[in-house]
Amino acid sequence: MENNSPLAKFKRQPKLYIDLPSKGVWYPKEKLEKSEELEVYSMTANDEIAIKTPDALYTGNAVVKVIQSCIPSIKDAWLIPMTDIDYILASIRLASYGSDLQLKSTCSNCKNEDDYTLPIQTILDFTQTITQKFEISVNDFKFNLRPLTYKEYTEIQQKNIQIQRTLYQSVAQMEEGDAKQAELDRLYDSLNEITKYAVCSTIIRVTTPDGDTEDNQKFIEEFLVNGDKEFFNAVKETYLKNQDNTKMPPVEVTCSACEHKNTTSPNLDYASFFALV
Amino acid sequence: MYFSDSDITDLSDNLESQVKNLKYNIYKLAWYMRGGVQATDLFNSDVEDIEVLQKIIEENIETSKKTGQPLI
Repeated sequence: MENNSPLAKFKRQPKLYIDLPSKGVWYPKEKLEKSEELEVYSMTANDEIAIKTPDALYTGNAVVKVIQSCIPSIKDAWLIPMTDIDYILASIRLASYGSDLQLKSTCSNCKNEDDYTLPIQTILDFTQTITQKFEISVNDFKFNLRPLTYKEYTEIQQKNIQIQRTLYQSVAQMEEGDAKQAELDRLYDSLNEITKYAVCSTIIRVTTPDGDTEDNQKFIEEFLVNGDKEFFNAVKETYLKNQDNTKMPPVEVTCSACEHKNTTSPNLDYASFFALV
Repeated sequence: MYFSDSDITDLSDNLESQVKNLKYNIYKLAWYMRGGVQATDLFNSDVEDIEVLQKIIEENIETSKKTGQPLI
């Protein structure tokens, strides 16, 4: 049905324009119109409903829907590299609700709870300066890496949550004994599998000392898992360091009751991040 | 961070109530617009625009209360 509403032409003007921190490097060409001056629109009421739907938040569908709605130049938000995701979410937050992010902090000294505001620009500035390493050399082998996509990250998070819940809910209730140990071993194996999957997924190419290259994911995984542990550990260490570098440093805040200085971390977790309205 | 079942239920209830509240506000806004805008248009409008419309309606209600004139 054609939209004849006189409001149609006034709807959804871009609120700001952003350049992607990754400069569009990790995106498939057809999934990204441009990497500079992407229009960012404010969220709609429908987007707000999406980010308040628990199942959609858990599966990541809500975030994907909101990103595609607010930044139409991004055609498939599942493929956004994790290097860009916080910057994108912070800019959508800025376009929709203004320049400040609300933070809550409980004083470690007197347990008083205070509200603070952090300019979103601080987060944007931080996410633009993140440095990550995407090439490492181990024993003359060269590994070219990439960040995880939002889809891969979400899948890993979901598996981690499932394991965590099993640990807390089922295993914690089991009596000490062989059955409990077997279940624990099974869960730790699952955690190792997830780490292995994450680490191997980040490798896009391996170059041997002879100059030959391999970019078949299956062969790379075999080489990494069954080969010298040194290779796997080096890639894993780089992957973890890259992840750490994306974490916003804690902000120092002063308790309004006792003036004790505490630190609080800006919460960019998508569910609570968007729910702070 | 671990969420217990009751934490998840609380969070879910809280989000559900926020969604209901949002829907209520949109339909109320559509009602006050007296056919000037459809609810579907409002659901697809910026959250900021919705706030502006709500503010205008509140101002008009206040004005009609002060002047004793009916709210048109």
